[in-house]
Amino acid sequence: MAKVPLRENLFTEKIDGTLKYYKCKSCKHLLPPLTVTCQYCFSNDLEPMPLGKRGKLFAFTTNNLDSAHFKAPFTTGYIEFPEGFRLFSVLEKVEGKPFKIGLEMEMVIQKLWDKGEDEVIGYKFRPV
Amino acid sequence: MRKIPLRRVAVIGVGMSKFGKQPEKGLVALGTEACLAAIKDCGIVPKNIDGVYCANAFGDTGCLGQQIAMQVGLVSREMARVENACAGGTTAVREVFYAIGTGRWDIGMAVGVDSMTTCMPKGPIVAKDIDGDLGLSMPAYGAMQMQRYIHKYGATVKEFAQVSVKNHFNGSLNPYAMYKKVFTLEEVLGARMICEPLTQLMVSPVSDGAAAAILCAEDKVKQFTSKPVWMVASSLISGDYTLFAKDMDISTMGEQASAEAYEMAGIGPKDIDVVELHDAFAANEIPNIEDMGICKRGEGARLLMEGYFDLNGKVPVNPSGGLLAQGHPLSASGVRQIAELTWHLRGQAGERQVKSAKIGVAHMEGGVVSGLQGGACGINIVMR
Repeated sequence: MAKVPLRENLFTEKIDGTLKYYKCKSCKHLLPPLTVTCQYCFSNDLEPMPLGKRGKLFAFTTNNLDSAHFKAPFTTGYIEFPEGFRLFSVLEKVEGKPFKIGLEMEMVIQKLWDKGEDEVIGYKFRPV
Repeated sequence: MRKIPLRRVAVIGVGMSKFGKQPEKGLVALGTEACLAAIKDCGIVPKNIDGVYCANAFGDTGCLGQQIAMQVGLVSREMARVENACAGGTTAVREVFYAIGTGRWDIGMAVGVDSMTTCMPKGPIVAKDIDGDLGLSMPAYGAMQMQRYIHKYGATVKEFAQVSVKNHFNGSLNPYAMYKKVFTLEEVLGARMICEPLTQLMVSPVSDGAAAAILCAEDKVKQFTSKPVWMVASSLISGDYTLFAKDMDISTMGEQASAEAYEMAGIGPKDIDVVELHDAFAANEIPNIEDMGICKRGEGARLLMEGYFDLNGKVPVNPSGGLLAQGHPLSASGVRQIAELTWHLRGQAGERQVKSAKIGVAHMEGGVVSGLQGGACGINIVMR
């Protein structure tokens, strides 16, 4: 029973650590996790940086259709980071803190689903 | 985009198959039905068609264009399939337009066909990327697009539900529409919730269908009609990186494709008489109208409620009933739009006729690509 990341290269050294984002060494622009080529200048010389755990809720919806890994109803949305990019994520409810655009959200690193014998580790967001 | 000298190109024949759940037919039968209708429409002898572009998004068969064309007697000529998700049909029409305009062909046929009941897995269209794994789907994206618009401009879900009311009403007048039922606002809002706040009646239905358009160079048009409908512009732009997305209701490829098409046609959005645009989700219609510059950002919802985009409004949008009432066999829709606009410009659109329609704009946008705002937006403009 091993822990495998949602995607290779998503996390810093520790799988339960945090996400990596990038700063382009050529043009200094900030780039989201899993970027390989800078979308501003197309350099591959990217410096990995640890991504903070806080962001603002940009948009969200509650899905009434099952997805491959999540049973309906489940809520998903985009989280906007101060670094200037947005991440799509499953959202966790917190009692008394209904989702709304602009809500301060924090990342939690946890198992998302099982893949055979392994646990797939990824992220969700919930209201702070 | 480089400007090149082009011959004038007219639409001389259009046709479509029945749209709806028709699993017994399959891609070839649907495509053939549409081509035969277009051929009959202009009375052309098929061997005079110089080439075919066949748009198709889902299928496991090779040389689909050839399989369809041979059913109408077309062999031994230039032929290829194109795929561009929802903009596939638009792309096929564009390729035929340029093949004729640049002098490669005199007459060409574009056919778009998809059989969603037989060629697609069940469930919403989901990309095979990290966001898809995390539960992102087209309806989810549409729901959030709507939410962002509502949030910024003080609109409500009612305005978006009204898109569905309008388009289903238009569809009820269209003998080709998959759904000919009229729905009230309450019925649309009260339908089964898909992705909050998008309901079942705000999502275009799974459908099978095909449409075909035959285009002709200016010097041969007189053989077919004395009142041609000219195709005067075409644009096609692929999606920009997600990183540069301004917001979910703003499509930069839509804005750019519109601007390019208007410039090529020598018109502005104020000159448009009738529009067929991509309304796979009721959420899409208002942002797309604004992408096209038909009204200012944030004004679309109010104008829609005032009837501005109704059949008898200032700028009728989706007089056919759109994808919501027609269904959306992906690659057929862009060609179906050309058929619809041609009928209006000829005065042949029956009960849903837009009066004195002279300039029609067809817009399609779609495609799910990880890291991009979308696949492509294509615009074709016809003019009498």
